Amino acid sequence: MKVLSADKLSKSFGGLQALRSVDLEIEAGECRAIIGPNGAGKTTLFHLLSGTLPTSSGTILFQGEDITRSPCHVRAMKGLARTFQITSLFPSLTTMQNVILAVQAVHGSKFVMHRPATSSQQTMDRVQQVLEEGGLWNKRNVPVRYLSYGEQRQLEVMLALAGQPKVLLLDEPTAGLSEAERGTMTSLFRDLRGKVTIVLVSHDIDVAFAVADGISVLHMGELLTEGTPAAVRQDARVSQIYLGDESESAHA
Amino acid sequence: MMRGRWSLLGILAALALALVAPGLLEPYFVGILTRVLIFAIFAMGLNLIMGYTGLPSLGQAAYLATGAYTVGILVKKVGIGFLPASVAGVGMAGLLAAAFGLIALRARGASFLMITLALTQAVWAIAFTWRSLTGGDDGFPSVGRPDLGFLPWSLTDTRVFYYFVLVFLVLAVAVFYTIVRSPYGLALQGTRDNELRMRSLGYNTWMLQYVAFIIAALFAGLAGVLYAFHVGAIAPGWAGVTPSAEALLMVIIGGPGTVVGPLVGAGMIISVSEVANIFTQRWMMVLGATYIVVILFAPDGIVGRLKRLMPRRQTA
Repeated sequence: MKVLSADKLSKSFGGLQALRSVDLEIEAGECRAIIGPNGAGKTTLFHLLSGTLPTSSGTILFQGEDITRSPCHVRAMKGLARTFQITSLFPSLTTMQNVILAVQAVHGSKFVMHRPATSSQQTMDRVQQVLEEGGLWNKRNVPVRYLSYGEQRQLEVMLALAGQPKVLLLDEPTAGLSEAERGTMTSLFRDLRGKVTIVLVSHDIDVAFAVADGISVLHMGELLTEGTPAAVRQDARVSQIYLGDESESAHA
Repeated sequence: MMRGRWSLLGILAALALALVAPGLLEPYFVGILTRVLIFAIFAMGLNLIMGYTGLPSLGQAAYLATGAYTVGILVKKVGIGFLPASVAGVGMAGLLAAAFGLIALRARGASFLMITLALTQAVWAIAFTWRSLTGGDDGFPSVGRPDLGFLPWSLTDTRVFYYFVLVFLVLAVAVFYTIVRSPYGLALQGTRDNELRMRSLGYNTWMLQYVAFIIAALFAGLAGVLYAFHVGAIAPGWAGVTPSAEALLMVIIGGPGTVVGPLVGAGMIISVSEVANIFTQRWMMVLGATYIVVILFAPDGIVGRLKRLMPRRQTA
């Protein structure tokens, strides 16, 4: 069953066509990587899917429903979660408060004013579960600005997962991580496979090949090819855009 | 739990002091203290949007004046009772914020500051020019004070009125404390820290801010009603820049994003300006110097600074 699909999705910024008529079909339970060199339109596609930028033309369907014009928060409530390339947390709040915010959003207590945020057993049970699974339970009372970079990246993903979304959009999840931290992240995504549909945008092709079932390659705002990791790896055009020919080698 | 205990001790001490103070002071000073309590309510409302939501506003005076004029007009010109008129005063402030919020919340940061200021100026202009209703710059005279009915005290007594206001301040603090600790209060702080992230977690951040903007105006409206009773007359200047700026200073100096910060700020600003007023006409300059000193040595405000000095609660 298709859970997320894009039909002839285009986006232009003034005269610049960042994305040209891209079709995308994500099956439920799939882990799809979207790769491509800098300027290929990966980030633009990500913004359109998550709703942070308006679409120029084309449609986006989520579980059969047209969400092309839905704002960010509506998509999130339908079960389309996302992470951020640049760590995007609530720096003055504690690790636990960060997770409470993520959990209470889906528990429908966003506008509750008469009781403490920590008073709902249902919310706090889930918060504890998320923190323990993510290994940050003993750092729960630490303001997140004091966490290490690796811990912050991990919390970043935990926040997106806390609401038990149907689809998780990951924007460059391994950007700026050390080799060891990348390993941790990669195994985290492997564990998630099958539990949640993942769409991962990355120019780190090693991670893409390590975790994805299917890979879509973007180049110059268009879909170049898509298929299994093995098939994409064999594709001569893919190695050409990544490795480049003589004239582009300086860029690569 | 060291910090919790210190805070509780501090609050109890402050409350005890607030209870005995009128017995020790001349009525003139009790009047000043009453003004401190009223402005504490006013600044607390601003703190909700500024310290907790990240929306510094220069427009809170609009709601202070709306609360005051509404209660004055309803009591003196329409002739209804003090209780319904006061409720209407607070409600009108909220309604005005519901309308102004639609305009102001399209902007953020400095633009938000400017738009809220501009909207306040519109209220000032109405108060200034609609002489038949507001008295223009002659002021709106003799609002009077409510009768407490079956209770044996009269609010015309300065000390009784002080306790009357104190009751509202304690209620306002309780409501404020409950809100900022609630799921909604946490969501406001999340919006202050990172609005985009909040949206992608499923929060309608505009609606969170809009509701906070209205709640802040309700606090300002209540302060306006009490201030009208306190002064007895209303002037268009109540909708001017000065009350808005004073509230902003109170929040910054006291400590934005803290429950008691604006209370400390209100005490500080009003006592400094009163004392300076005795010695010099240029009390504004003294206020400015106070501001600079606090910002240099306690950029989080006085209460923010104290919180840092306290031993932090350790992980349980």
